[in-house]
Amino acid sequence: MTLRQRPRYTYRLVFAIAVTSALAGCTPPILDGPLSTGSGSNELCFIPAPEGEGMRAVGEVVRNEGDAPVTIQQIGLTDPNDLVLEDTYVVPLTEDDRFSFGVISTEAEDQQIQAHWAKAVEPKDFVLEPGASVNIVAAVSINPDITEGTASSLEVRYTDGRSDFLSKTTTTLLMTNGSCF
Amino acid sequence: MTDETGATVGAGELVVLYGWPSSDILSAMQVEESVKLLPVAKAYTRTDGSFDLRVEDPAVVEPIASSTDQVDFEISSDQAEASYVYHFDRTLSQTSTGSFVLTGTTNSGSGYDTGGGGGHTLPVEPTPTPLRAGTTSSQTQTDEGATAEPATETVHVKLAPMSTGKTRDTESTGASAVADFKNKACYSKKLVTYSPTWVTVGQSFVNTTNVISDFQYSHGATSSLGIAVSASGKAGSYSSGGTNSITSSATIDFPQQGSNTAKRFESSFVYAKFQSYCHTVQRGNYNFKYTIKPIAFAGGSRVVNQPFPSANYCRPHASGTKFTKETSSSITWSNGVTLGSTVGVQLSSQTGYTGKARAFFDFRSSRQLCGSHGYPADTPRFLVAKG
Repeated sequence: MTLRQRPRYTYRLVFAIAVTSALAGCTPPILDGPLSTGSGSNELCFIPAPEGEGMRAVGEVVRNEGDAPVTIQQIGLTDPNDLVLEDTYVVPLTEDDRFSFGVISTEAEDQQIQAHWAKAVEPKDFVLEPGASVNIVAAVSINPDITEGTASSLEVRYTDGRSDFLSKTTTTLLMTNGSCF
Repeated sequence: MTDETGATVGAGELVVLYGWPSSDILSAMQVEESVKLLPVAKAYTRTDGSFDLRVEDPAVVEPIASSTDQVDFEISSDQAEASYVYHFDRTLSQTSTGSFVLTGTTNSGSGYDTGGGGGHTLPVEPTPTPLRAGTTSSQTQTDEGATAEPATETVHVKLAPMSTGKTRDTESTGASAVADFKNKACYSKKLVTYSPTWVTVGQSFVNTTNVISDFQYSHGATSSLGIAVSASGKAGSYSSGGTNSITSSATIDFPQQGSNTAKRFESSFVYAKFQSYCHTVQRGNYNFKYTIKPIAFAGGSRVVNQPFPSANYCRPHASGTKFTKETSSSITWSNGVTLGSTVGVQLSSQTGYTGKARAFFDFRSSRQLCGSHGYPADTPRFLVAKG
């Protein structure tokens, strides 16, 4: 479980370097890439993880619809507003195992969730073969003294070796210290 | 286009695309009143039975567009031994340059049949494009949305003769309609307005406890409803002949569903029977056909039981989570229109989760949300809350 216990500053440092690189004049990523990231328009409202279960994490499934492998570079939040990205993961999926994370805790007691967590790896440089799917996961938080944090989607930066792409999922995220009902 | 044996018809058969008056007009008509059908394109079959219909100037259908800019079309071909009819609809819109385009009216996606029989799927074309019609080997409509100008939206339809094509009205046989095409005019007369019939517009599956499901069918939501056609109008002669979309004029918030419930949500729509015919001075009235189609939303709500589907694309949702599905591929219920038992053919209904039709799941305990054909945020078709 060490992967899910990486200190927050590690991710933020990587993100800061990535942003700096982007601002330094890199070619903007192409938005229409080979990863399919869901369809329609969905909303997900959730609350922080219970005490003792680590952080709240949300996941989506992306699939490589192209005919060449792609390499994931980074998972992030789109237009975050008071929603803090704490850490990111990918969990490979197989045709036989269609279980994937939706809204879970990083240290959930459920054994099926724990077994899925055991397969989690770092997103950077993860290679997704044509036709393969992967569960992209983001651990997130909000400050206890604010009401809610939002993001318009999860997003994935990746490359096929020739071009860089940015794909966004189709689910808006709302994390609240209140109630979703 | 195929004949009754399934073989393709030969070359030279006339195919006409008619525009029907909108459902606004049809619902306001009195029984025995007639309206003119607007011919907007024609073509002749090739040797392999295929044909292309193209609306050269979509502006011609502006007068028959509904208040929601929907235009109802009928592909029609009348031959000596058989009649062919297929209904569908499109939305008329105007581009920034002032030209008119016809686009799909409901969400794209695969239809799903809950009880056998063929349902039709109606696609959406994100880029406004002119309309074109052709044939394929599949009795569904699909889009081939082109991305470059001049863009073309293709409607693929396999046309098979109506089930009683050899027992046509005696007036309808005789000389080919081809020779009369230039002088003929075609009409549709309202014969019967049926009492409102229940139509499936949504569903809910909670195969566990501590999950609340809700479904809202809002003002402006659209359902694509099956149409029955017949060459004779006789009982038992009707077959499925395409779909038309009807827009809700009221909001229905169906009752919340709790533990271990599998429900279909129904609202009611008005169907009417029409007799279509063509007329020339020389021949009088001929080519009679009968169409039973939806003309109005009537409202009301009914919840009925149904079995749970299999759903294995699962994602856990922690306690306190609310998931809302606003847009998705539409679901077709092949027997979604209860009028089907009256006309002797199952009629389909289809509703997509749009901004006007939404499904909600409140997770009061940690549970899984599973799609039958894909993950919940993708194209799940059926969403089932499970333990």
